[in-house]
Amino acid sequence: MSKEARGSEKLWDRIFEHDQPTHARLGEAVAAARENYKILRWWKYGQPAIDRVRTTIDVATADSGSLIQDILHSAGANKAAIILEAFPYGVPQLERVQVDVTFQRNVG
Amino acid sequence: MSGPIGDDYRVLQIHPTLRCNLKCPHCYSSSSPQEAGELSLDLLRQTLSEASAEGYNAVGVSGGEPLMFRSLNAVLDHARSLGMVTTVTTNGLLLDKKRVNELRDRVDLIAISLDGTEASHNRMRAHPRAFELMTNRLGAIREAHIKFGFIFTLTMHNLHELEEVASFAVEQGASSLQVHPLEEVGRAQSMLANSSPDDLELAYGFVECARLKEKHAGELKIQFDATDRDLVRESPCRVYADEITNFDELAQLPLSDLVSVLVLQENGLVVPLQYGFSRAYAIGDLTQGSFRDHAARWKRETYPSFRLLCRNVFDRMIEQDKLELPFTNWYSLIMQSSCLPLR
Repeated sequence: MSKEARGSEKLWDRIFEHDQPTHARLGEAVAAARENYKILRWWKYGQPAIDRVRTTIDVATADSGSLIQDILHSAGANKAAIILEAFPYGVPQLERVQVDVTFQRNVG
Repeated sequence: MSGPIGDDYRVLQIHPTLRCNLKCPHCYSSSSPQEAGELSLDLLRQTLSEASAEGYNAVGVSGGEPLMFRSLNAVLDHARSLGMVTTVTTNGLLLDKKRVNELRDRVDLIAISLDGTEASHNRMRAHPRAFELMTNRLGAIREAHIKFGFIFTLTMHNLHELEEVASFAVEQGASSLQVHPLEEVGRAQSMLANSSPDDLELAYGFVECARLKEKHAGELKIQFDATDRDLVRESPCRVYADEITNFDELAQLPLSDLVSVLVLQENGLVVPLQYGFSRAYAIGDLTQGSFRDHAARWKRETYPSFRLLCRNVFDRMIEQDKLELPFTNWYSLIMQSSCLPLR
């Protein structure tokens, strides 16, 4: 494997380059998203502290970009690993998309 | 019956020559200026007619550099006369006004390769001015009102450049941006080994595509060429992996009902799905017989083993699903599997 960094790592470094993390900020972003989107599942890992939060949000494709923007914007205050996994439901014209958001503290 | 690209377009992709004005390290067909041969116009006309009769309604001419293929206009004219949608995939360097005017009434879409920011593109194209020269050609395409898009080769290392590529595409008036994972075949096998994006990188790639799709909503169509595991699991037919028992009946259908993408290589071999697919599953060698005859034989004799291959790859994908990554590069998986010894 090449030693060059992944493109996604470089992308994330750029997005989070200035801000410091608080997991509350991501919680706020997800809470805001819950008002607009249906929450399918919610997990918490690492009790008692919330080291890792995972949520799955089911949204229409047309809305997925703005949701992801919202999360990235809010999480911009979090110098932490944010993992977004998105699952499209239609090919080639996507109809819906499921976005998984994982937030980890003290990572990296 | 639907394939990876769905039902609308059933594509015959033609690589008439490996001659190219560039020698890119990631080229899947190892094209270069040193290559000379090309398929004959007579063979291509006959093949297009017979492919059209088998239900193929779109033709994509690539290469090599298709603008260096002498019979390009005649091939496109013939495809158009058959009612086929036509596309040309080019590095863009040779698209001067004369060529653009020739293409204006012959192509539905020009796809131009764009591999990142200027420095990255020039490095991938192995040419110090490839980006500048390509950019200088775009005005003529716009003036001719030809629809055009860009194809971005996603590697393990360049996702962060996609935003700039998308902005460039919008600025230049492109209608679409196709994000295609690097295939480690051809020259890329040695020059860019281990540089194709893994499934984790594909997951991030999708998120970034979704973000950029929102950013450029109404301006740019972004297509991401990765396979959704959930969708495939729910609809195995999308990767030709649904259960089939009536092969005799299916052999009566048009070939395009059985496999929606064919590739005609510069050596006359027609293979399913992708350039370089194993000869063991080839429709046939057009230097040894007509497309029509090969298609009829393939449906009877080779289709069952092709389906078995697809089923095996599907089973492996589902097994790998334990990793829980949402996307994979099915084309890469099936290409690799096709080249393994037959069991």
